[in-house]
Amino acid sequence: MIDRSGNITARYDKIHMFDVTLSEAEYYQESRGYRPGSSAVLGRIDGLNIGMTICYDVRFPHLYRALAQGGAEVLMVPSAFAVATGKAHWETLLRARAIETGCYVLAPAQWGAHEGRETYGHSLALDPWGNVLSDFGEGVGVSYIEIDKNQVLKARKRVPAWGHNQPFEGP
Amino acid sequence: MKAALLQLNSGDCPAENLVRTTALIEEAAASGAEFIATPEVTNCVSVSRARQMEVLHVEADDITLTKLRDLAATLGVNLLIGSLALKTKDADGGLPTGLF
Repeated sequence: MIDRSGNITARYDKIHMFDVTLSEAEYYQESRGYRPGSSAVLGRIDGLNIGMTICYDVRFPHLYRALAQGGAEVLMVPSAFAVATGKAHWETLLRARAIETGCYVLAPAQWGAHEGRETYGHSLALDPWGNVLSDFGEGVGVSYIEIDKNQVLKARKRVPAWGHNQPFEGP
Repeated sequence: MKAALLQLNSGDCPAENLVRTTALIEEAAASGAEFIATPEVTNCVSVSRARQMEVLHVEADDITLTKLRDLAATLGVNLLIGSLALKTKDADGGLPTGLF
């Protein structure tokens, strides 16, 4: 996170490495090249608490619940999502994270052909009720949304599940 | 607060990616965005370990981070860089993927 003065105010290293085999031809072993982080991180800009996550993290809802319970109102999921998983899972995963937490979810994305791989695009912004505010689809450019903190309060007042943890024994 | 999400098609040359990223951030700021966010691996998308080791740098020497910090201050906007692929100072130059 970089503030209006150019200061780095928060930093996060991706916790979950994308080690998957989508097909014989398409597989990823992120852990071979990248070092995973081990801490959930909240940033803050202009009175908003920002939960910082990256791409494959989106499949681990306990991280988002922890960020929301730690004060996050906006959850960031910048991504370079594979096309196959993008078509099948991208919007559903992001909408689920918004609905579960009552947070805005903002997911700027890589799109198109790159050296050695292809990405899905469809940069997505969701409100705290899970409505899609913008879907950039394909191509390169910018999408815009308005963030209203009152919408977080409103969604959480209607369904406060994000705070309703109950202890239970394992299976 | 008006927020902007950049959708990029980053290649494996950080300098070229930076030119395109900078132009879109300037466009977003001119449109009134106060919070601008970029995608994962904004500076370099490459599946080649050799290419990564050739073009990536440690945080202190990374051209993307340096330029975008300056840009945030010049434009007076909050930036979230969706991540930067950076070398570490470890013996094997292991690459973290950092969100700034």
